[in-house]
Amino acid sequence: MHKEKINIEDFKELVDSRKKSKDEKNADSLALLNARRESFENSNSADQMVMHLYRLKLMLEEEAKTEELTSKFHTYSSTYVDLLYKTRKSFASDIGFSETQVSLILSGRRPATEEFVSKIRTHSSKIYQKINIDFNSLNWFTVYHLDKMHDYLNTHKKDKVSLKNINNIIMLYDVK
Amino acid sequence: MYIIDTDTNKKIEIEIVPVDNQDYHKLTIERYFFNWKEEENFNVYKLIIKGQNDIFGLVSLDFIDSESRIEIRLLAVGAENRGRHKKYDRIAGCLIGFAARKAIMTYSNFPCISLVPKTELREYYKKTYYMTDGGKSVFTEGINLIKLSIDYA
Repeated sequence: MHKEKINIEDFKELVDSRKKSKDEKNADSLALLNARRESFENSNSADQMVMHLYRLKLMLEEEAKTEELTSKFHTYSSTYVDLLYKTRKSFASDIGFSETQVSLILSGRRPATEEFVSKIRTHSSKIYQKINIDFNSLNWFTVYHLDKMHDYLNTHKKDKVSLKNINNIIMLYDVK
Repeated sequence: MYIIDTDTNKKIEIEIVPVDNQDYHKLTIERYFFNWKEEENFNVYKLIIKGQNDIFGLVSLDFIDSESRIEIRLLAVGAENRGRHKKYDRIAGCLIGFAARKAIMTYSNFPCISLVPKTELREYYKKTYYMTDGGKSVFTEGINLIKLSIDYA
């Protein structure tokens, strides 16, 4: 390492956490786990819910950035609903859908409709606003269209999905 | 994510992407302080201004799956952006915030990031990055991890 002429201020932008030995690594892991246990015991279910919703937001953002599809629309939507509701029936009632429709969509047995995406978009906008987290609800539509295009291309064995095409579709919806 | 030009206070959009094999020959100890070639087996990311090639900062991450934790093994900001006379600010913060987002996306239950600071800077890291003591390391998890991720989004 190059340590000459280095001021302590500079170390604010330099981190070296590498351990010298396995013993040192184990001791550090143990101390960390003990400290985290304390923090875990002080956490509550509301904090955990915020964490799960924030994670979902990041995953939707990542999905919407690329042309690949990591998970299908119904995986994200069912994660969202199951986080917030004990039963899918309650969610169905809140968005004015039948229990069967919602159940089929969330399990991936029936494709989502634009109306469903629109409902989940409105619903999630309110939820994320409540927990004070900036959320681009249009990402639901991006993932929905990506999913649809992947399905179409798989069936018709065409080339890659173009995110440009999807972005053109998304522009048709009202801008956030 | 953005860094700030300290002369103009302008926000500059950046991205953090994996280091390419061809990058390693550019990562000199004079500019990036450590021997980054030694980190090739870890997950090393570089911070660049969108559409440019110059590397402003680097971070090497160790994903410790058994603990739902990412350890920041090494982090370095380019020499010209360290200390009081830096040209761009927030580079280290963006790299730490990036690690926070990676942890949240990788570990669904109780994600955490940690690092071992210099003793003299322990309080600085705790205050700046919402960290808590955990042995030699400092760590952040839970709501503080989200705050860190949002601050440097």
